[in-house]
Amino acid sequence: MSLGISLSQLISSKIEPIKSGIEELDECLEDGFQSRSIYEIYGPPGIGKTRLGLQVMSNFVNDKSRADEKVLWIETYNTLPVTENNFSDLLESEQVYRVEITKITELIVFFNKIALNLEEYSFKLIIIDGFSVIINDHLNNILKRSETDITNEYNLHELKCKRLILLLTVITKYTHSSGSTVLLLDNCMNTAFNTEFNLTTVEDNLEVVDDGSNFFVKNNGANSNIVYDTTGIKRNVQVLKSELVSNVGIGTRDSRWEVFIKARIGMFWDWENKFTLDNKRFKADFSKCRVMIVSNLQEMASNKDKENNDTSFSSSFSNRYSQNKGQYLVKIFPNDDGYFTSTKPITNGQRKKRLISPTKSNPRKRHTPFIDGQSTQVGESTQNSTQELQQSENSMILSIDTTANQSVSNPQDDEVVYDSEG
Amino acid sequence: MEGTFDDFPLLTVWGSPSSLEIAKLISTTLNAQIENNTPLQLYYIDATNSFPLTQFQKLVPVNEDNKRIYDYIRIMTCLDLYELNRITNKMLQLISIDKIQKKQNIKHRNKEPDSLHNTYGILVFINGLEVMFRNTQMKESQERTHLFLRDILLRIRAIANQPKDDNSIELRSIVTFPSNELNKSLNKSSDNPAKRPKSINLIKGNTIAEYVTKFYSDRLVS
Repeated sequence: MSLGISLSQLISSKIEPIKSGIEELDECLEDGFQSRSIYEIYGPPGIGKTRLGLQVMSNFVNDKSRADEKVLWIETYNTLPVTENNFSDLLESEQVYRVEITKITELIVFFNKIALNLEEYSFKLIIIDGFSVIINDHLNNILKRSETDITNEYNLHELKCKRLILLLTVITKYTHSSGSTVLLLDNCMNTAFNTEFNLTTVEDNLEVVDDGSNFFVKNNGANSNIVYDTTGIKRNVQVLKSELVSNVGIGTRDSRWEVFIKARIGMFWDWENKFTLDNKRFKADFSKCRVMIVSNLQEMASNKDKENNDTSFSSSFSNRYSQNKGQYLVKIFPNDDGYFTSTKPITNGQRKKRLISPTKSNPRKRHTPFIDGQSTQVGESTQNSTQELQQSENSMILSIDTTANQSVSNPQDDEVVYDSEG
Repeated sequence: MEGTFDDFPLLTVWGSPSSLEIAKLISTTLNAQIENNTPLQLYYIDATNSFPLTQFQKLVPVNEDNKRIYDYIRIMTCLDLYELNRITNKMLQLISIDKIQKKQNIKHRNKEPDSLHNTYGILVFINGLEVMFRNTQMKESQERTHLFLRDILLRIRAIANQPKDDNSIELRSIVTFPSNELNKSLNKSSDNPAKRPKSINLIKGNTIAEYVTKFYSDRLVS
């Protein structure tokens, strides 16, 4: 009579984690995305969530030790955007499978079906691009229905939690039986458009500014734990949360479905500032960059003193960022091939310096650039950004603007603290 | 959470332990029992793949000397109360078979790693009971789900509470819950109202964690 699997068996049959290609991110995730686990990656439009998903898929496909293993890309409202960039060879790979799913019920049925036939449908990596859109769409439909029919009153938060628990249970069952890794690529949101919603029941440190924008803001006043605000002046910082958390079904019980998610990776814009001493005056040079906030939800929930934890990784970061419990911060940079790395490539400014010539020729142009319609990294064209990019950028810029100003006046106090959701 | 296996009460509720704390407890308890020649079998029943493998491997490196410890830990995935019920039944059957074999003085031929041969006791770790309960609630009525839960916990306690003799295997259980599910129980210990956290972040109503703590646990560790 056997009961479960012994730990020694589990270790001997342990599937190697899937590398993201970003060294520091892999280190945060304990050597990469672990098998039998679900991860959430979220961020504003254009930040590169899909690109990161493609990068992970590309690493997986190019890993020769995984030649017999399959990858599944689940499209929701966007098709797999490989034709426009350097990941086009993924489509030719026999390891890559695609499916389009736009409904919660379809997703549940799909995972139940593939779980029944693991020999044929054993995918070691599953990426769901736009998972939060499916949930949000579902909730908005219910909201509309309840508006037209006043007899139908739904507790949207309760409903959202139930749906997510059901869905994530089915996905967890599949990941446990097949040893696969699931990545959810989600949008982020900042909205309090549900006007009847009483914010004080959810988070005591958030409020809605009365300027018609209905954005959640965090007041960094004198009582705030935001370290850079030393003046005690009331400053409002917008808070970006995952679309799974911050939607019409916002509420207090999100931890009930969050237990299924191993780690949450938030991608945000940040300013990278350099200071040069110019004639006894500090001159600041800002360039936009991306940061990732990796949150180990289990560790954060434990809410315990982590003095004994291994902090060697966090100490390797610049003191510009403060480390919260169970949270790590990783800076990422896209290289010429469109891959994110944790090491910064040569900046445009440096290149210009090196490449100054009378002919103004730029030999770097020989490389095929990564073309991403959503991208807005420095040096990339922003004209193709069709989504609410400007708005989301402004959100992040707004939150960091005060930091930047503070930093200029006092470079020693050059610190930014991200809250749990960035 | 500290102490030897014999110090553990029949059923302990542990609020939001960190991965490191779980790994430390498992490694120290199993090591101490092996040193005393009273090895334990650990059943880690889990709904969310939360066994702290990396932390455990740091504390107990994988080598020939430690192989026994790794063999004594068994991990089970369980997403609803039906599965938990099945696992509990199997566990109790194993204990009963072992008891009968010891009584009849039958030599243990079965040397499978999961057999309870030479095992002094069983430590059951249940993580995600609230998830299992909710998942069952979606398929069954409220009453029936409660019945399932009560039945499982009662059986675990009944076996653990049996009078100790030479033939019996000791059973101790630890159930972990997120701290936000345990707020009421945890706040009771603070008599000073000023020290109580604001109620706005708390989950309203009674949670499964509160229920289990109140009616089935002997100790609450925060």
